[in-house]
Amino acid sequence: MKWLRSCPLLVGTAVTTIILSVLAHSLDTTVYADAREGFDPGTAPYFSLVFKGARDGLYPWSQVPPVDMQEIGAVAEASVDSSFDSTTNEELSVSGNDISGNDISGNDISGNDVSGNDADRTYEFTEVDPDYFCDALFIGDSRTVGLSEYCQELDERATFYAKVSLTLYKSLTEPFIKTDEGKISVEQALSEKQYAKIYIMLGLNEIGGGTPESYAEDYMAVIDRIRELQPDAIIYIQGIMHVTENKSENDKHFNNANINSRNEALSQLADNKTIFYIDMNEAVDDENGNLLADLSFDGVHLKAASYDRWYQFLLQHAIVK
Amino acid sequence: MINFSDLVFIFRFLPVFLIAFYVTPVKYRTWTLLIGSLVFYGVGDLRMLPVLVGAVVVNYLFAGTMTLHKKGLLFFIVAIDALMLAEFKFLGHVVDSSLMPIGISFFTFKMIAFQADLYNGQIKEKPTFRDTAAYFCMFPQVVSGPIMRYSDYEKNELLQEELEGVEMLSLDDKEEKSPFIKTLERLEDGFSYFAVGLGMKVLIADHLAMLWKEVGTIGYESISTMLAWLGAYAYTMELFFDFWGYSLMAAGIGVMIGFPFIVNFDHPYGSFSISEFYRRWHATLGSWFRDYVYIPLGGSRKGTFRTILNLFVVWIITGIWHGTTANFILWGMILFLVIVIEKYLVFAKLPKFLGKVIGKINVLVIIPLTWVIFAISDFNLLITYFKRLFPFFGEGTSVNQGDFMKNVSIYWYLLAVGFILMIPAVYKFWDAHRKHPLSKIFLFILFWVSVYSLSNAAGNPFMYFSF
Repeated sequence: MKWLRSCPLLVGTAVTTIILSVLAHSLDTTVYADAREGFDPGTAPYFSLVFKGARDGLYPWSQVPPVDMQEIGAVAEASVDSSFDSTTNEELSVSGNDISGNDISGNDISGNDVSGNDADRTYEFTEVDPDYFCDALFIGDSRTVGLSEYCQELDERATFYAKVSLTLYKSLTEPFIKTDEGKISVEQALSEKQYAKIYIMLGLNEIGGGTPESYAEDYMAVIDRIRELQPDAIIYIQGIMHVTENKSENDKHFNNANINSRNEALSQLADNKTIFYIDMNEAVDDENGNLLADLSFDGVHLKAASYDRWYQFLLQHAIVK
Repeated sequence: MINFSDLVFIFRFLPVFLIAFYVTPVKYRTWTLLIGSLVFYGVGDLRMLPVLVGAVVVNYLFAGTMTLHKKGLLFFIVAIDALMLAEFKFLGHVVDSSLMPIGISFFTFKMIAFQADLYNGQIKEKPTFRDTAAYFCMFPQVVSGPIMRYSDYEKNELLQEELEGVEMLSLDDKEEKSPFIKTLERLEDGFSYFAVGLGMKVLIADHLAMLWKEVGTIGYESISTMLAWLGAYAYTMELFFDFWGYSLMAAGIGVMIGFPFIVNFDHPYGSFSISEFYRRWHATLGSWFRDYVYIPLGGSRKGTFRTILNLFVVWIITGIWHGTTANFILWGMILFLVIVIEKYLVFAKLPKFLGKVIGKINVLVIIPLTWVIFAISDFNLLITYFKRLFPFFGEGTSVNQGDFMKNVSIYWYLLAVGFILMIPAVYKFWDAHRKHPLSKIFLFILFWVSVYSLSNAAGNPFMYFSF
């Protein structure tokens, strides 16, 4: 065993590599089925599946939902976000039951309303003053984080539930909101406090998965759930902000063609009664429909000084009931 | 794969190459090294492989004439090499960056050093073609150095037939070790350096890079002065651990195949002056400039004026070598100025203690500021950044003073680890005890944590692009 003593690190590394590879190969249709999606074995060793899984909280001993077991054959066709399908489906069915409930309560509200038969009334965008946002909530990813950090006037008034790399699929359930009692999810926060306006901008991080139609469907499920918790809120679906031309031309996923087709699908979700679609891109685009290069350093985020354009757009595109 | 911190390199190319290298009989081993290196280069940049091969062949053909000690011939081949480098740098900068062959800055400098050493008689006999080619192309160094001298290449006894078996007789330990055990120990030692370098690159540099990117995302005009300084130091550390880590990986691979450990970073931030800093930062480049530019020009032996002129030449070439935009020339010129001031004012006129203090401040304050110049190639943006570093010329726009604490709260542990590793004694302690069992456990964990980090970045466009 003299040879082992002379190179324990090498031997340990080699043995670990073998163990990980065996695990990856033997579990690649169960635990690591999701990690295998879009994995190109030419770019990394097969055992990286184990690490990819670990990042998502999946370990060799993790129990996989039986759905995946039954659909092994279909796994290859599943989208990148297939891991989220089960949760989304749950939400769908729950909110599916509640849609009718919403309708009823919607009628109830309008019935109780002073204005009387408002149910069929549609609204137009008007200009408002900053205090409009005092009872507003913003949900979003890093771009919305930037809006809160670099738009003091808005940040002082509105509430922000925004987090870097937040996706639609985790937007309600991931506990990231800091409170005195620890972190809570948007869902929990929304059941504790009512807001008059809820602005959502999500969709860039998850643009690589699903189709615009499936995405809009999932989006609607989230909106239904919010509606259930916040029956009186005006919900603003914000179209996804564009990326710069340079970014758009060099990225398979994060390009403006993809963003536009998603926005088109999202705009269909608006009913112009309680759910509205607004697209702030007109405030930051160049003549070709790309994010103005001067406004961004990385092609994706607005620079600090550029957030005011977004804020001004929001001031000018508000619904007053 | 052309990157050492690529899983395909670590888990496919490197093990296959190492097995092939050790299985090949000594007589043909140099060929294994050469072919492996060409494959490595070809996978990274196939289109430019002919440039490398062409340069190797031309330099080999001229190498034979160097032993005639004709100065004109030396000038001629050095001019060819320098022109080739300048031409591709120009093409890469002006036309398209893909036209610059990977590593050309490094293999050209090796070629110039090789010719000059032959001319000077530092290399006694003209080496064979396979040795010349393997020396120029060897994959541990072809991309970003270190710029190893041929004399160090020759020290590799694994490539020399006449030395085979010699190591069996040499008794450096009390008990005789078999060549097999020695090979394993050599691999283990090289891999230890590789793991440390990988950790520095992947866990420190690549993650601190996100802080520097964040500074850009906010926009230089909108960062607080505190964040501007944090950014400068974060970039300073990123650059240091990126390059030091790379150099350790390169040296480690070199050790694995029998070459001596090439020191490229000798704790530069422990220096007490900027001139010392640049003897210890990218040391093989610094000594290249000393031996093949500064000393041939007369060094410091021809009076004050000539010394300053020679330093000027060295630093303007250093600037251009790093990049062709104006900021690199400014970077070189500022370093030239500070080095001249140190040499003729600080160390010549001031008391020794005070000189040391000023020199240390230069290393810890001026060097990070020069890295900012190095990092930002757009002149207007550079001026904006300096206005935020020194906010005497007006306020920024849309500054959020909380940006500093936000980034400190995210990156403090990386900055802390980086800062500790900048203290020379820390690495030296590990180096002295690197064969201790605790060190092995540490390296094992370090290596696999790095691989974990790489696994979730490689082939995953979403990893570093989470918005």
